[in-house]
Amino acid sequence: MTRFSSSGTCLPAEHHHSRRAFFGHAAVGAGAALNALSTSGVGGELKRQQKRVLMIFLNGGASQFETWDPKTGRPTGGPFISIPSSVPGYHLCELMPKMATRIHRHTAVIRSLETKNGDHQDAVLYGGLPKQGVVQHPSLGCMLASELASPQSRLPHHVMFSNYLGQSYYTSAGFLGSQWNPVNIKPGRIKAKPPFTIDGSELRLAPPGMVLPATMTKHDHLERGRLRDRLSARFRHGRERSTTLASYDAAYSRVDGLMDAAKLFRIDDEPQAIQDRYGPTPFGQQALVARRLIEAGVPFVRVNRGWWDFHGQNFEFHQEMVPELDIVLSALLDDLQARGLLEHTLVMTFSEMGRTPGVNAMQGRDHFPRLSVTLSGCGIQPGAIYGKTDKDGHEIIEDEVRLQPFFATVLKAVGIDYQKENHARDGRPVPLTEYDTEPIDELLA
Amino acid sequence: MRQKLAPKLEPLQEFLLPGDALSVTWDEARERLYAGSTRGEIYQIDLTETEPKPVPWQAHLSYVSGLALTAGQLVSVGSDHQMSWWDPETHLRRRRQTHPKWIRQVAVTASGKLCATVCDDMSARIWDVKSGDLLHCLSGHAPTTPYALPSKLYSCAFSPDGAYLATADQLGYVIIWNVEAGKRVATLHGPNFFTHDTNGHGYGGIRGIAFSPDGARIAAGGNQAGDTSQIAGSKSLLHIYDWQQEKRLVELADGGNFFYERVAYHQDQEWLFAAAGFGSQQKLVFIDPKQGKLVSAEPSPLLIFDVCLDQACERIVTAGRKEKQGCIAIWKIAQEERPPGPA
Repeated sequence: MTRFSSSGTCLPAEHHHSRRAFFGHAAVGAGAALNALSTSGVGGELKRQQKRVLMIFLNGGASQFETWDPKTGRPTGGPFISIPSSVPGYHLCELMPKMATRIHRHTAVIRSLETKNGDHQDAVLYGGLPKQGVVQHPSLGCMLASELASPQSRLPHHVMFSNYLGQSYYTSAGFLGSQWNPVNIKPGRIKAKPPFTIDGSELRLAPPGMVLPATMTKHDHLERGRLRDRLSARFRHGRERSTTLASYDAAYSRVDGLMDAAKLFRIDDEPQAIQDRYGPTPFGQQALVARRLIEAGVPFVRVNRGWWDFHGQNFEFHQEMVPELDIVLSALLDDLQARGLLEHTLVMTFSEMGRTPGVNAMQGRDHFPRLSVTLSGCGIQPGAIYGKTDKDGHEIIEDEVRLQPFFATVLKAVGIDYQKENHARDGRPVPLTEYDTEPIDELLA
Repeated sequence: MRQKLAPKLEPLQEFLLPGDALSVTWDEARERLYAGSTRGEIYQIDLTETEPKPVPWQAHLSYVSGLALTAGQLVSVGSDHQMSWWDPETHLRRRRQTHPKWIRQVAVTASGKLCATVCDDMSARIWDVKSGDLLHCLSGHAPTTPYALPSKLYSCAFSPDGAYLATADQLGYVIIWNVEAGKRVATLHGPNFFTHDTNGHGYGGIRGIAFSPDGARIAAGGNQAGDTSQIAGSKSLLHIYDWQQEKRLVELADGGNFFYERVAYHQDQEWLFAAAGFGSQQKLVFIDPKQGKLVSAEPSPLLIFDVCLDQACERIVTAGRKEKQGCIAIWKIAQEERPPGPA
């Protein structure tokens, strides 16, 4: 018997088809595979085996005070009040009422991340390790993509959605090879038509070039692919160990896979009720596509939402953006859970820095290296509230967390050996996290 | 060349407070000032004392965003969603959660019988001051920006006869309500008050409104479409409307890096005062409302978030921030001779 959720998608218990069967479909077309996922139940096997990570990156530095670590009534507290959460004793900002009722279900909060970074840099995405020089370290996303990707999959391993200003920190895989670099989906531009409508015609939720040009038939496309494969095979002879060549091949394969996966990027296929839960904003729509990608087996997706750099009018802007984050994050967690995916999917919120406790003359908050982050879902201890800042949010007074242990926690949560060694191009062994790094076990289920 | 008189502010007294001073009201009969701060405190300043000092009491959990005096009571509103009634000796008489979000401002009728509050739930509410009863909940402002993010309802003002209430929002809309019926009677729109960037950040809004003393005009001050998050290119904007005709009469846009927080009319409509609260080039501005021209504009030594005129229009009190402290300043409105022509 097949049971259906209210949104019409099947529930995991009745899924029987094999992962191989799923990827067989994917090879023909990931769009078709998605249909198979939602109609014939192949997702179950996939869900049991494959771990994924979805990162919501709050570009520009979101304020911890107006989200996860409010200081109501203190000189640094700002205008908003705190509200109790579903975890006894833990309060969060009133701008997050939906997450307040969900913290105990899936989410751990870290209020004590010390990045040592107080500027708009992508260094946090590399765990503070150098991305240039002799050893070019991979970013967390590239690392996760390389560890979690299925060799059979023709879907992209790593997808990122940029925010509108484009300051989304495109990261690289360093010595792991460019096949783990993200497919970057730039959303285009949106213009308002006063008074109350948006011209969303330029909103892009998919990479460009997903559809064949009118001058080329599908047959032509397939023939060209076969010709390329033959030429590549000949060229590869004697160059089997070339990572560059492997990256090129992987890139071509991913382009093909992407073209097959066009349907994944179309949210119109989602029931209206699901679309409504994510909301009408581009961030919400990007998150919904991210869920579709995760569901289809893309191992790492990053959705960037920015720009949170409010040196002026901090509270006016957080009043706009935090409720959107609350809506999108809670919708995402509910949706993943309803589909049986959250058990295998880690959802994280992250940012390059936090904001200062002090409020400047422009009612803004400036750059600050300490922030709050969250981990939800796969491998995470629900309701864990880790770390503490002082009463005004200046200093971390309990359980400071550095980037490397944070990364180790993420890796362990999805079943990756965080000390696993890869080899840099000069042959030296490089662990996923620095030697002797330990994860935070209190955050892990 | 013939000289003409132009208003000018001369500082009289200044009081510094912890936090920013966000709101101020003036009990002229008793020579007492009340100021609300970002620390949730209200400060009472007794100007009859030889050396007046701000005396605080804890009134709200967070920002005290509006204060009004009426019928012997002080009414305060805050970002903690609360509205409180205080007696002249600062004892709490009544406290209610009157809105579900940040209450931005409170206004009272000249009779002192009614007060109105505006909140980021985008409703305006009219209250019986004496009983505390809610008389009308007025909904009509759009709840979201064009980008589907929450909008804000910043300001409200009663007409001098108390028959009408004007409310103004982030998108540049002013709605005029018939107070007795609780019905909308006019809508004004200043599209240049709002824009948003490609990330959906909304910029602008009408921060302060005032009826003219004859009730025929409404002045609206705020922020021209500019990037206030970075304070780069933020520009002020002021409109004057004939609200019954729903017609804009005056638009004054200033290229300086500041925007208007409050506007206040001279009792004989000789001038309109506009105070700038944000930006690096904040100013004290006098405008000729009939000609729609700037009369004088001087750099302000402080950021101003609220103003209060005395009835004779001889003094003005400002609440704001100066050198990392809240600042309540009393100014004398003087006249100085200036050559005719542009200010």
